[in-house]
Amino acid sequence: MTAPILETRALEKRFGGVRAIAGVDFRLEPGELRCLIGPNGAGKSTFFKMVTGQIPPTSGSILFQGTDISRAEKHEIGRLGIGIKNQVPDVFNGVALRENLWLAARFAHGAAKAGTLADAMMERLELSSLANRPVGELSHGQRQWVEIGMVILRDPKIVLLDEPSAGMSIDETNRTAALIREVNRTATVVVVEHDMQFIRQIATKVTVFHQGSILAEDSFDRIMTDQRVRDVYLGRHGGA
Amino acid sequence: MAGERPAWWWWASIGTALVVLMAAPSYLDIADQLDISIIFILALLALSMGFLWGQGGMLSFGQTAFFGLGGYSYAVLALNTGETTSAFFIAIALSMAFALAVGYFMIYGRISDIYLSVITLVVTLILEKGIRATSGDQYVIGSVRLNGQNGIPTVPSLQLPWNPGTELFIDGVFYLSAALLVLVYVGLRLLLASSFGRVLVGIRENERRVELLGYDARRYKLAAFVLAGGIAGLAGVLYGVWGNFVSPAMFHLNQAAQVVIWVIVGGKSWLIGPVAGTAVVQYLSNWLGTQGVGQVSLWLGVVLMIFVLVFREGLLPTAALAIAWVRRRLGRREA
Ligand SMILES: Nc1ncnc2c1ncn2[C@@H]1O[C@H](COP(=O)(O)OP(=O)(O)OP(=O)(O)O)[C@@H](O)[C@H]1O
Ligand SMILES: [Mg+2]
Repeated sequence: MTAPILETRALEKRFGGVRAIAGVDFRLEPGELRCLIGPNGAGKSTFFKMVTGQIPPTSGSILFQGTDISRAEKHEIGRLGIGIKNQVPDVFNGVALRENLWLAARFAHGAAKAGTLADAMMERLELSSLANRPVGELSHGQRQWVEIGMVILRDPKIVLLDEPSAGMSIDETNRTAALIREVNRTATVVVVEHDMQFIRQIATKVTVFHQGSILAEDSFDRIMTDQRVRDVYLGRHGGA
Repeated sequence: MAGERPAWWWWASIGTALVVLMAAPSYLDIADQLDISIIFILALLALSMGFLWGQGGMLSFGQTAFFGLGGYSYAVLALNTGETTSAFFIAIALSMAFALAVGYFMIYGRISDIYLSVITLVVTLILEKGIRATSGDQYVIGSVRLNGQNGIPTVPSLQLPWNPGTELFIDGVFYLSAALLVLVYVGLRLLLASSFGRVLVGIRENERRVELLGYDARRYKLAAFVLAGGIAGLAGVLYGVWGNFVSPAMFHLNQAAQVVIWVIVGGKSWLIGPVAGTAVVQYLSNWLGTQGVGQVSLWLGVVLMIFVLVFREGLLPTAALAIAWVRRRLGRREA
């Protein structure tokens, strides 16, 4: 077994009485494309936010390539090479698309190269015609791509994507899946999704969260036939 | 607008403005020169506030703290040493050092935006109360009495650095404040086109995203805060030089609120907004003062309400929107 690129040990987050993450031991091997699924409120976004320093863990530890990052600042984690697309589009709404990408490229590659890299990324996302439009004016799907583009421009070692295909058309979703596979050629990727068709397209290994804990972890096909997983999802629908 | 280098017409406007400003004193009497110089000086104060708020997203309600501190530091230093050039620069440096201390506490303490406004306001009010309480004989720095609420009435005029025997007269203060206003404005505009300025605008838009990308937003915010403190301090020094007078009113709530009004009226999204806002509001209040309308500040309050409720973007951006609208209408008619 290779050394994990990311590992959490007994990771826990409480919000008042709610145990949003209740002792998670998670391991991610370098180069993986992992999917994280689970019903609403399972703790997926909370988990991502802790890994990226957006919220501090209540207890437990997070190790990136062996170093403890559970108390590190957001920018330090960003510099180490963990990038995230948050669930809600998290971009610079008031400034132009190109400027959004420039800011991302500038940090990792310096001001001299940032312009060229931003232009190249716009081509890759097929958004070049919108270069000077404020990102706030773009569609939800386009903003998601801009955010993914910003994350990739940092050349991260780990890319965390929280519901990257939410609100996208089938065509857009397919393009997003292709983009994620491409990113996975150079980075370890973890994707949170609800859309099973989408997960089928990209997943190799799937982790199921339920009430803040890992319920199951296996290949996509085996997860789909796992009775516990079915109960969790059916239980949610039955209860709702 | 952020990130773009200024266009040729911008540089041409700056050049024209400089020529007009340098020629103006020959055509203006002393009283007009005084009235206009003070607008330049107060516009610097507004610029420091508008830059922080409009570009850095930090609403400092108390830029007057650095304004007053600059004025008082200059007065005390120049009176003690009899030398004004070093007093000028040290006073600005002291304002910046104070901004560094206050800013470090707020920004590295990660207090929320609203608390930044409250704390800066409280700081200027504390300074005001503190200075007001210095009327006794025991409050002396070097050989200078602070004089409590009466202020310091004998602030030295600036001497020419290369010829300390010659003091700047009223036209000299006009030239200096005009030149420094243009210099600071151009400097800030170029700063916004630099990497630093572009990151600062990113922080205004979404601080979390900037940090996730790997930038330490706190360093950028603190640098902007210190720079703005220096500009406010510079305005304070010039204010002392302009009237040969500094007083606790420089720190007062009225003064602090006026700065916010200038910026809101002119608009904070462009750097020129606070400058225009200061000029319009100051001109308006001078004019109202001569019209016998009674409570000038009441009328100014009405103007502010109109801007907050109707012209939210401020004077200049609203005008730009109107021009764009007219253009579109004309374009449609031609088509
Ligand atoms: N800031 C917060 N304060 C209090 N409770 C929170 C906070 N953030 C999340 N929670 C709670 O923690 C639990 C996990 O939420 P989280 O957003 O991580 O779920 P999720 O798996 O991402 O759900 P979804 O699929 O709906 O996005 C939920 O019960 C949620 O209400
Ligand atoms: Mg979520």
